Amino acid sequence: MTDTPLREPTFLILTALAETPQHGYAVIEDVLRISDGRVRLRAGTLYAVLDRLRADGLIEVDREEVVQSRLRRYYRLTALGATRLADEVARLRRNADAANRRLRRAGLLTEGGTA
Amino acid sequence: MSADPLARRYRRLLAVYPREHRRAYEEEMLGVLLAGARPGQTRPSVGDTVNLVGAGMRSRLRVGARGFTEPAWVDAAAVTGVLAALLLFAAAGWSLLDQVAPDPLRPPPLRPGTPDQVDWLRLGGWAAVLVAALVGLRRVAAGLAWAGVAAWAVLVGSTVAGQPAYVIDTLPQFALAVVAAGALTLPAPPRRALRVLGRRGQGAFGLAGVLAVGVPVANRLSYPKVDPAGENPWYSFHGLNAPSLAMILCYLAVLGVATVAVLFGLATLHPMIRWRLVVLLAPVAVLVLLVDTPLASGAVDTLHLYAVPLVAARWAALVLAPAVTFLAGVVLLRRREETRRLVALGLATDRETPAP
Repeated sequence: MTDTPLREPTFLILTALAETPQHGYAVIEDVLRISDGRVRLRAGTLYAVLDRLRADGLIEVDREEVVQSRLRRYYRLTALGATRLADEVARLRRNADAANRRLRRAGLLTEGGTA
Repeated sequence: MSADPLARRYRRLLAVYPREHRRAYEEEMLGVLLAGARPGQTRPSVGDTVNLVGAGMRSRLRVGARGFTEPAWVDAAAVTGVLAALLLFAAAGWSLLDQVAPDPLRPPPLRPGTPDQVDWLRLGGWAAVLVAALVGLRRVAAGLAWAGVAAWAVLVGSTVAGQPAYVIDTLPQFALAVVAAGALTLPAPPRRALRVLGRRGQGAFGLAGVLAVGVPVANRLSYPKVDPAGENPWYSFHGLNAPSLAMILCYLAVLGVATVAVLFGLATLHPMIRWRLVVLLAPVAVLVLLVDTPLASGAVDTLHLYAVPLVAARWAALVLAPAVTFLAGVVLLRRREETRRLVALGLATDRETPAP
């Protein structure tokens, strides 16, 4: 796996699009939910990531709608995007498991999972 | 409805983005920004403003940087890298010759010392850059050129406090080294410069190089003997010295041929490459003019007898002028080519749809 790790906003946006196609504002709200209110994306950040993901072929436009005379574009994950997200999940899980094991061996992690 | 002034203001902020990004996302982003606005909000929030301006500027930089990977820039950079390396090799050679056969008119205390290892290394280094670029070892050439840039920064740039005049004297060569290194860093196919130049271009620039180096070398080696009695005639013109006016005119004529050869070489290039070559080398030309004009004359003592402290404004001019020249050149070139493209598009449309 030679891909560099995904940055958090990118990871969360791909996660938001994993289940169903969503438009820009819905992605912002979903990312806020996924991150337990920790990551509030702004439009500039969102569209910088969406543009890059489209260019890399990880997402594509699902459909376009006009709501209250404003363009609403829905994005969905491509097969490549799904693979990339799955790879990233596996990488994070491996790292998290390794950290977990070491903390347990050192006696720094209690059964509940907090030090 | 409060959305109108807010939409107008957001649209104004979105103008920070490059045109192609706006074409793809402006309406959509506006919808997202308005959907996230508070009821009654009429102005963009500070957070949104900072975020949009930052993201827009980054997008512009990305688009600008991507532009330099266009084939025309890559070709122009390949040619520029070779020509700049040739110039730097010639400058290193001239500097060495100046030490081996010093100007007899210059009194001994002002004559340069004998060449040391650094002088030979400089000559060999730029020769290696030139050869590597010509045989297709672009990465080796770029690496050596960046090593030359770093060497200047360490050996010369670091002495700016003690000898600012010397540092400024060598700034154009440093700028040329940066241009050479940057140009050779752009990924071009092996030996691209020679293919772009073609036989006529290679011949023209080769001839210009030989003549431009040959004249001062021949002049130095055939200097008139020092004649304290002043019995022999003596002619001098911008560093050229000769026992007869005809010889001075002969030198000038050869330099004129060299200039024509350069112009001919440029004319053989495709206009898109020719103008990019000019844009890439213009910052160095501006720096040469600045160093040789009154702006720096208060600080530069060409005989290196004393060092006059430089004011910040002069340093700023020496640093900013080449950068601004380059950026202005890039912008003007893009506008020129965009205008020409649109005009050509309009002409094609006119041809396809004849007037009734």
